[in-house]
Amino acid sequence: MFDEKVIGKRYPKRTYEVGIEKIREFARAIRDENPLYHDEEFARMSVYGRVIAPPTFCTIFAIKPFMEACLDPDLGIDLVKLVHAEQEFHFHNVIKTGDRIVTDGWIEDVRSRRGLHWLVVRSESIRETERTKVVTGLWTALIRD
Amino acid sequence: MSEYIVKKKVGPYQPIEYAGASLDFNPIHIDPEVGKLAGMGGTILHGMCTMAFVAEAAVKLVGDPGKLKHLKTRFSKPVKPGDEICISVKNQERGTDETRVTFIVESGEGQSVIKDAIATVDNT
Repeated sequence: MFDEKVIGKRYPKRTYEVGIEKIREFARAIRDENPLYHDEEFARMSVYGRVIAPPTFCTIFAIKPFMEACLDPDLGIDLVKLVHAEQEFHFHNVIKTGDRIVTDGWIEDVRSRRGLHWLVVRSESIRETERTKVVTGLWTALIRD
Repeated sequence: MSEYIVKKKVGPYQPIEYAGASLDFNPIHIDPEVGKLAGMGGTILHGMCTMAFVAEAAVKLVGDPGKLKHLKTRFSKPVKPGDEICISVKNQERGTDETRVTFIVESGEGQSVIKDAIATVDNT
């Protein structure tokens, strides 16, 4: 189904700025009451000094290259036959309120076996100013024939 | 072994709420008709939301979100509104610097919804 030439194809870099209300909204949606994600006073007294985001908050920005690959006409995926099969994150640094994060992403791998096709997209998110790594994502979709 | 670190009842509109929070508006999570067409009988929860529950379990285990270094999940069964997700520790392998924790992630009926839920956490 996939041409191996698509391996390495990159998607546009995007910048995301982390806001406190978005962190709270995300933490509420996953029903996580850790005060580090909600309470400014509590977070100020912590080692982080300000409200931080739950680990998988990174999904909001890090998923973009994966979404773009799934919708890429070069890949021609029928979305009805696609499921998000596996997910892997390497967390390098905690995400804090006010961080500006740049995400880059590309197709890491495609493979097929007996009517099943896998697409793996890698995302690399870094802090815009310090250029420190925030999170690496490996996004795996499974597509049936 | 059977002690749950995290237990979550998935609310009827939680996929919609998570869609808004995560900006993932795939219709299978918000439109019951699309879910039915996909053979799911209605909407399903985002795999990434279930993964967030696993991340919470890992953070609860070590106390500090900054100690979670790696998390891997394989989504094996769709989660639906009304399901209760129960997360417990299967085993822990302590290394010199890091501990590898494997979780059991089940819906109320004891069916695995994530296979190979593995976290790596800092020992320090």
